[in-house]
Amino acid sequence: METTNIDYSGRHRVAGERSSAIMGVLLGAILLASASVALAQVYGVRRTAVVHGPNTTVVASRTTVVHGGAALPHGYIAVLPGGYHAVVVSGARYYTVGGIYYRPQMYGGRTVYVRVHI
Amino acid sequence: MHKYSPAVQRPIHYERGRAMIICSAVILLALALACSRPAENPAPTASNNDPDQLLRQMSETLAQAKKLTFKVDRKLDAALVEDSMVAENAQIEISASRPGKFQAISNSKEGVRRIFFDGQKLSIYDETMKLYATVPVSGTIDDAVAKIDKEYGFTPPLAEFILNDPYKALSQQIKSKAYKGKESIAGVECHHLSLSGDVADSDLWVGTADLLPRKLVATFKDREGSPKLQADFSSWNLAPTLDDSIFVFAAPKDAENIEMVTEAKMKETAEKESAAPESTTPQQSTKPVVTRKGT
Repeated sequence: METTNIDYSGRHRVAGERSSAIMGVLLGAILLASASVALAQVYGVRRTAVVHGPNTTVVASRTTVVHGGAALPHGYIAVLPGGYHAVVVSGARYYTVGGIYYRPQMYGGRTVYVRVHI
Repeated sequence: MHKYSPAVQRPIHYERGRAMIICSAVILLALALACSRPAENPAPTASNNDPDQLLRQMSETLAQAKKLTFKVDRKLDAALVEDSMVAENAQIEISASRPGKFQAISNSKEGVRRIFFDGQKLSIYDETMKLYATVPVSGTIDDAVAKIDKEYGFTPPLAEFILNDPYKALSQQIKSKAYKGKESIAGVECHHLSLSGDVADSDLWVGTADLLPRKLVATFKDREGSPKLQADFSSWNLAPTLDDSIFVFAAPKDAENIEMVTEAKMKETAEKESAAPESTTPQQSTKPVVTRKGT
């Protein structure tokens, strides 16, 4: 009887440990899922941004930029300079001003323009 | 004589086991009951001004609307606007059909942008420049917002308020809450909640009668000068007549499809540009044809 009791409680303990482990895994999965769902933005303002240094580009933990737009890398502009012309090259639209060509792209929920050489 | 016969006596572990089973059954029953019916929150009263309760009630009011439309007048301090030294004002109109459709129209001095999500794909249309981009995204509004945020680095404006579970998204950003009293916003009596988070501290005004958000002022603490975002909500309709076709983007004939750049690709580009600022895209030999002049 005692042996049975020990065996029974032992199995219970193992089962309990398994349950704890399963609960732990489930809890971890739920937390991870929550974290992945957690918005990187607060009311549309980013928590992180690309910051340009003299020789480096890093993602800093600070808020910048809105309507989703992140700080743009070198070569990108958010607004075309005045006096631009729209041109078509190989069926694709570009914009040019002062001899510089820009290709439009959608980034951060808005149109941005990357400098290209044609 | 023994009070109980040996036949009915049980070992202590047996009784404990039985007690545990009963307790477990009671807990499971309670959980099942809790999950089978929505939480019933009492209407807010002067004696029930728990900020968390009010936030939950506001979120439930929004979540229970199968379809909804509203407008937001959004003001952003210049420090929150990329490539700009001036504040930005935008008028935003949002329409949503739960669980998986929305459309947002933003009108500012930058131009008019429309965002469509029809449950299968998300499109952004720059109406001013006649450019659009479409990416496949399926699932609910919450799924789409999370995926777009993660992969493309943006969220639709004030997306927290159209999610199917607004409380979850809002509460993740909030570390502490306080009730500040009742105030009138545009003639509507509101509860004033103070919400403190890691990134921003917010003041939120929720209508006392309809439990809808009326005004939001978020102060971003980690920016020099603590810039603010202000959103004034209006024209709430929790039972609009919306045709599903309004959530489907149909590209105008004169609009051009452009690439929607992922966060990962932009990061890669940024790293390459940092290493070689004069790097270029591949040469193209076709002679450009001038088609339109800008301003």
